[in-house]
Amino acid sequence: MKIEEHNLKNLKKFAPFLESTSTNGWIWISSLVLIILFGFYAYGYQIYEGQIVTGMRDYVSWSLYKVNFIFFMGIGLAGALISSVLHLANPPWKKPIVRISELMAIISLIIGPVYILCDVGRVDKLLNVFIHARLSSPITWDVIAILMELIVCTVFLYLALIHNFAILRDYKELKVSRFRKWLYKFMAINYQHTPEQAKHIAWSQNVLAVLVIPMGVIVYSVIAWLFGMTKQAGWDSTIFGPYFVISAAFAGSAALIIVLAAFRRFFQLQDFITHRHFNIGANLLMVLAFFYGYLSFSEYFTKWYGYEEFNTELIVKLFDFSQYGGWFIYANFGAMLVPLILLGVKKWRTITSITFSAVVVVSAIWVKCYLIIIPTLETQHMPIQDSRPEWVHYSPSWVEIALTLSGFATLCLFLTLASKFVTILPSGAVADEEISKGKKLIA
Amino acid sequence: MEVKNIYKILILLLSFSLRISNAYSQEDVEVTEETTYEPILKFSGLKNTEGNRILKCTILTRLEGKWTPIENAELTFSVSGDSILELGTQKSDNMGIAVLEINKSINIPSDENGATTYTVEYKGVENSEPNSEELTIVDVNLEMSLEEIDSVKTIIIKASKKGAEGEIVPVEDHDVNIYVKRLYSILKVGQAYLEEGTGEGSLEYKLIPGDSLGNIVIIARIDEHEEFGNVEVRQTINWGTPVSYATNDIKREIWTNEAPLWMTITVIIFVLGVWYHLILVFIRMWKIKKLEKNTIN
Repeated sequence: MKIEEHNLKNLKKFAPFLESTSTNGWIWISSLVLIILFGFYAYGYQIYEGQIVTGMRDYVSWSLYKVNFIFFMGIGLAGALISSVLHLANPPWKKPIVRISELMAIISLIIGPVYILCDVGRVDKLLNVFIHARLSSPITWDVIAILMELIVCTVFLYLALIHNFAILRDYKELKVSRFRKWLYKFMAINYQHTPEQAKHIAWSQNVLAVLVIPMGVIVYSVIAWLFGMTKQAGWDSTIFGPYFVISAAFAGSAALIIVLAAFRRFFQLQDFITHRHFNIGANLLMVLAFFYGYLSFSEYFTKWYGYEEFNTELIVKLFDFSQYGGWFIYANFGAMLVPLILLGVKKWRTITSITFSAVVVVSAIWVKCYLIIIPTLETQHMPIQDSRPEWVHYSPSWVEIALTLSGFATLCLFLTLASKFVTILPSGAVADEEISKGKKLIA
Repeated sequence: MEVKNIYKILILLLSFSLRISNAYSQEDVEVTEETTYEPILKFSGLKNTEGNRILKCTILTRLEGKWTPIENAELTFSVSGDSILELGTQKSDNMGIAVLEINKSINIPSDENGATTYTVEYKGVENSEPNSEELTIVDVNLEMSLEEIDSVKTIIIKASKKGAEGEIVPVEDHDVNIYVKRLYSILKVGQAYLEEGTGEGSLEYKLIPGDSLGNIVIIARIDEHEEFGNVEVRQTINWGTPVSYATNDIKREIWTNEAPLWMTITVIIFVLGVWYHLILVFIRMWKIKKLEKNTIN
């Protein structure tokens, strides 16, 4: 297969990243591996000693694990939505974003459900979920929906990678192991970029892109309904579906901005990922901040005004600064106001300020996940008999914190490893400057 | 720095972290065949509604850093005083618990204060040390009567014990906990204070759900008192609010006749639609591979 000139140019730029790893790269990978190994140790310790080593007790039986599950699933949903919307809309600047977004989606969709395994006391009985599945259970819908979303997203990413695998297979100057060459050949499924093959790929990608959007929304809505269909303080809400989806899109867009900033810096992609991409990301953050703020206000205002006894107890906890008040302000006002203020003023809108806003948004949405789960479980309708008072309030143990850090380290590690296996920019990606030139020529 | 060196550092770091975790997991006493266990005995007594005395002993030992119950341990219960009266021997169950119920018809000796000292003894085996524990309890007679006074349902408690000269004296200035029996456990609903002089206390009953006929079990308990141990009386009365457990809730389950048809159809279309398109995509991928082969041939 003949490699086009702009792809050849990209390959020359990225080949060193694929062929070898710098000292800093090794240090980065080793640090991540160590954090993940510590997470494995923590999980082993939990399996051996039982869940008493976590902060979970009678009242709070969903802990940081469930918080991380919702968070990562949200990031996965947003990544999938962004990549499929960009694929269908096909703006000229989409290429540098789309692959990173797809990778982030799949890795998050893999990490998220692992936290459910951590939360389950008897992992050995996990197969029963499939063997004795009750189709009437929302848990079963969740398993079916997440698996389908993961399969569709993986195939969607693979289709996008086939052309790249073919290029890597046919690029003779690439100095990688024979096994890796064989792997590129195997994964390229004899793709030669003939018009007919390209047509099949395009058709398949279009179909899956259309599927991913409603699927992502449904998957995350099913997760939201697990809460919304439960008669618990703060959960029994009709707007939880859209609220979760908007929050996920908000956090996912912010996470994508952070990842783009990291790749831009470490892979020297200033020509490809430009201020324009961050500007678009900033606009998206601002729009989503409005929606998020509106839904948050609607959710808490109706609960506070309704004055239902069991909701009031929770609202008091969330508004009380000696309890969750500070975190509540950060999760709701911080996530909304920081991007609106910082990115709303043109002269303040730099890549650094956009990335900073994204960090605030991601951390605030994680706190939001925490506030949705933990205070509610601490506010039960009836006191549990014979339970110790000190077991009502939850605080995470080192085991849960280690596994949380492991999850984030896994996301970073997988993104790093993926960027060492395929070029992080898809085939056909050209520098932003060249896109502008092309536009001028057409004009 | 060469890649090989980085590998070496990594291996070193890994082995170091494994050593730390290994050391951490072995911080407890290592158990060998020669280890001699030193069991502990947790001894308690309860006087129930019938007036029988239930002696309960839990035998545990420290094993691999954890308190572990000893199963099948022979525990001998006796009363010590001027002479030792052996009450019986029981074997511990898998939770290390041995229970002996002494019928109220058995005459248990007590001292001039009405106190009886019970002893539980574990004689030990080859690799386990013997141990014994004592429990001194003053016999208390707890009575409960359930009455409606001026249309107010009232729980009246009275407690008494034997005096130095065999007379009955009231137990004063103590709280008696009042519970109701629930499905899995007992639920505390209040306390009755035993007044000075009379040894009587009362608690106003509040409406509590009972069974389908309104029956409810009310329990008065002196809990883990250092002098009296555990004493309880139970009584069933028709004071509970009758609860009908039959519900008329419509089952909100998809895949059942209760689910609206449109809901079932939507889910089926969604799931089948996704898989139909996935299969189409897989067929296209297979075609991509096939197309190239044709070109070569």
